[in-house]
Amino acid sequence: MANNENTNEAKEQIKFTKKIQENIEQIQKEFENDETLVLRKLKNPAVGECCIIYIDGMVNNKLVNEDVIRPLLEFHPESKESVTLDVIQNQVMLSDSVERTSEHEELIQAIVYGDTILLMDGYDEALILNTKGWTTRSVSEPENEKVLRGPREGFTESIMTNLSMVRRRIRTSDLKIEFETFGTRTNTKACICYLDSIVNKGVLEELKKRIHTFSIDSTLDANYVSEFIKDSPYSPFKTIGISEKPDAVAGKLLEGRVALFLDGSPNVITVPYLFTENFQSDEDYYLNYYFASINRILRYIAFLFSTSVPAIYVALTTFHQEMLPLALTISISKARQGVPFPTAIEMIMMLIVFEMLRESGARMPGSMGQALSIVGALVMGQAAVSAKIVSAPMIIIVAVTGICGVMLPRVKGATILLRFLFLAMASFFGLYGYMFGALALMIHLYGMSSFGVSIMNSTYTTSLQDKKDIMIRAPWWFMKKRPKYLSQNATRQESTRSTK
Amino acid sequence: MKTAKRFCILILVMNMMFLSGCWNYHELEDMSLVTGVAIDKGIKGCPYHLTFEFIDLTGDKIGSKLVESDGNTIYDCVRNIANKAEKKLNFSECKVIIISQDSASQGIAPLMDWFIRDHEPRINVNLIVSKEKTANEILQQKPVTDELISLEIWKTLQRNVTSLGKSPNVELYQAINMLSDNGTALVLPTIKIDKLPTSTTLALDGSAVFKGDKLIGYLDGEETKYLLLIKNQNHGGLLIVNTDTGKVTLEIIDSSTKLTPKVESNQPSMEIEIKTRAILSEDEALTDHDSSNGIKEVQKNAEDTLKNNVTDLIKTVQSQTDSDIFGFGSLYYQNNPEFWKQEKLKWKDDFRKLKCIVNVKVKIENTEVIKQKVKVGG
Repeated sequence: MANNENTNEAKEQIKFTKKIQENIEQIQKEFENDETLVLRKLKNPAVGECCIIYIDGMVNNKLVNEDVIRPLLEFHPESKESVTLDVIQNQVMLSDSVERTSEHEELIQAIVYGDTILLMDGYDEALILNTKGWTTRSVSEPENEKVLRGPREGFTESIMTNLSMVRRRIRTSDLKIEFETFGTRTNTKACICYLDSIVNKGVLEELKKRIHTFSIDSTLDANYVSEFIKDSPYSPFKTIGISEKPDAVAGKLLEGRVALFLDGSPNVITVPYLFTENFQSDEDYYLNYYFASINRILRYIAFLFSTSVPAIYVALTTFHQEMLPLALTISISKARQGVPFPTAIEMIMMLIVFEMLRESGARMPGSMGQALSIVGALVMGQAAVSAKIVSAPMIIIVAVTGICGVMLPRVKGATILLRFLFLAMASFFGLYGYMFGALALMIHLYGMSSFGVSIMNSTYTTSLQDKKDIMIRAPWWFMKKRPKYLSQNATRQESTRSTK
Repeated sequence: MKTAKRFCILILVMNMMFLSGCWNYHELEDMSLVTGVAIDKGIKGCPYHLTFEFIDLTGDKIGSKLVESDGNTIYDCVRNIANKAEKKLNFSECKVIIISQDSASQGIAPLMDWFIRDHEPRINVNLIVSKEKTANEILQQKPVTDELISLEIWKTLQRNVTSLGKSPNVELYQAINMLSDNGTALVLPTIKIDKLPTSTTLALDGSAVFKGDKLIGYLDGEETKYLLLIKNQNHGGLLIVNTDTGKVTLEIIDSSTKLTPKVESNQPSMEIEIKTRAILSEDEALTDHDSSNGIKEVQKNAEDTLKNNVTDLIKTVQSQTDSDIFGFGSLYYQNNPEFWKQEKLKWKDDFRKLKCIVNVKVKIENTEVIKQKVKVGG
C-alpha cells in the first residue's frame, strides 16, 4: 500500500515538456516491455511534427485511420499562420470526443482504456481522442435467468452497453448515472444509477458511503464489490440483489432502488435487497397475474419444503411416530425393513448424493446431461432401493426436496445450508429441535437489514399496498403505490383503470 | 463481558434443548406396532394375561401376529414381552383394548391406569368387552376385510355408530370420564364370536353395563340403540315400525334428545323429548303414499314404537339395577346442584323410582327415490 502511494506521487511529478521527443520517451518509458503500444509519427508541413499513441487491440483501427490520421495529414490551412493545438482540437479532428489534458496520469489512463492520444511538438499538452473499439460479447439471453415471455436481452461485459440498455428503457433525464472507479490496479469503471425523484435518499447515501470504505487492487466481477458493501456478510441470505437482465434492473430502479454497474461484469447490483425478492421472478410481471400469483405461492411453498421436508420426515419417523397416520407408518416401516443405516444417516447421505448430482449437472457439458440423469434416476433410485441400501420413501423425500430447491435459484445456497441445519436439529431433538431451528431462522431474518431497510419489511407492515407484490402479484391497476420504505415518492399511478 | 453474556445465552439455549427430554430417537423398524390388546385374567398364578396383536412386516404382505405374556401388573406384562421378542412393543397406534368378562367384573379401573399414565398409548383407544370366555379368543379370529383383527374391530366400531347405532363407541378418556362422573354409569360395547353354520366371524353385540367399575350385565343391540337415543348419542340407524298391515323401516337421519330434570315437591322426574328425522327406506306394509295421511300414520306408529321401546328400556333397567347408565343423575348434578347435594347418597334408590315422561316426535322427510310400492300386477 505504501509502495503504491509512492509510485503515485512519483507519477504526479512527471510533467510534460514542450519537446515532443521528450514526451514520447516519457510515455515509452512508462510502457516499457509493453509491445502493444503503437507510436505513429506524423508530419504535416502545415502542422508540424505530431505523434499518435494508442494500444493495439483496444482501439478501432478504422477510427484511428479515418478520424485521426487522415484529417491530420490532409489538413492544409489556407492561412499560413501557425496551427495551434486548439485548431487541431476544434477544426481538424473528426473524433466524437476530443479532450485536452496536461495530466500525465490521465493520459496513461486514456491510453489503457482504448483512447488515442495526440502529441504535438511545441505543446506540453496532449489531445485524448475517443477511438475505443474492442470486441465484446454480443447481447444475448442470460443462461440462468431465462424467461418464457418478456424481454430476453441480457447485460454484457461492457458497462456502456449495459447502461444503454437500461437507458433505453427509462428515457428520462431523471435517470442519474454517477461514475466511480474501483480497484487500485484494475481501475475498473463503475457507476451508480438511480432515479433521482423516487430513490430512497438514505439508501443512496449509504451506498455512496460504503463504496468508499474499502480498497482492493482488483474488481473483476460485481461480487468483489458486493461482498465488501453487503450487510450481514456472514449470513447465507443475500442482502444485495444481482441481476443480468436490463428489464429487471429497470424495474428495480423504478421501485426506487439503486443500481451499481461494474465494467467487465454482466451482473448488476441492486440495493436494497429484500427477502421477498428471492421469490419474485421477472416473469411474474409479464404473465397473467393469476398464473404469476400461483407461481409465486408455489415458490414460497417450495422454500418451506426444500428446507424442512427432510427434517420433518426424520423427526416424524424417529421421534413422533404417533403423528403419522397408521397406514403411512406401516408403509414406511415396511420399506425400512432391512435398510442398514439409521434414518438420519440415510437422509444425510442421500441429500449429499443429490447435491453432488446437481453440481455435476451444472458443471458438465450439455451433451452429458442425459447420461447423468439416467445414472442419477435409475442407478440411485431404482437400484439403491432394490438393493435395500436406502428405503423408497427416502428417495421420494430427497426428490421433493431437490426439485423444490431448484425452483429457487436465488436462495439456493441458503436453502441447502438450512436443510442440513434443520436436519441435524431434527435428528437430535425431533420436531422440538426443528422448531428451534425455525425460530433461529426467523430471529436471524428479522434481524437483518439491507442498506438501512429491514429485509423482512413488507412481511410485518400493516399497509395493504405493500402486500400486493409479496405473496401474490396483484394486477397492475391495484399496485398504485410502490413500497414506501423503498422510495421517497410512493405514488406509481394516479388514476385507476376502470374495472367495469 | 460481552463474551460472558453470549456464553450465558448459549448455555440457556442449550439447556432449553437438552433438558426438554426429547432424547427419544428410535427407528420405526425397531419396534412392533401394537394395534390391539386383550386383557384376561392370568393363568399360572399371575393376575394378568395379556395378548398383543402387532403388525407383522416380515413377509411380503402386511400380516398380523400375536404375542402373549403373563405378569403381576399390566406394565409388567408389557415389559415381559422383551423375554420373547426382539423388538419393543409400541403402543402409539394401539386402537382397541379388549377386556374379558372376568377381568371386567373384577373392576376395570386398575386395568386402565397404565394406559392413561404412559405416554405411548393414546387416550382415544377404544374399549370393548368380550362376551366370550376370554378376550384372547377375539384376537385369535380371522379378520374379514382388514389384515388385522384389531383394526377390523376398531373400524367396525367407528362405522357402527353411523350406520347401525347398536353399539356405543367409547374411547378410553370417555370411559374414564364416565367412571369418575357423578350420577353416570359406565357402558362399554361388547363383542362376541358369531358362529353361523357356514362361517365364524366376530360381531358387535350390544353393550355391557357397569356398576362402578364392575361389570354387572348386558344390553342387547336393540336396547343399546334406545339407550344411545336417550343419551343423545344416536348418529344413525334403523327404526323398524310395525303397522297393522306390515313392517315399515325408517332410517334415522338425525335425532336429538332433550332431557329436562324436574323436581316437584322433592320428587324428581325426568322429561325426555326425542325429536327424530327419518327417511322411509323400506315399506312392506300397505302405506298410503298418495295422501299425507298415510305418511302421518306411519309417523304416528313410529312415535308410538319409539316411545314404548324407550319406556320399556328405562323400566327394565330400573327394575334390574340401580346403575344409572342413562346419566340422569349427572343432569341433576349439573342443573340442580342443591337437589343433588341432598340426594347424592340416595340417588340409587331415587333412580329406581324415577318417573320418566317420554315425548317422541318423528318426522318422515322423504320416501327415497320412489313414491309408489312395488306393484304386483294381475
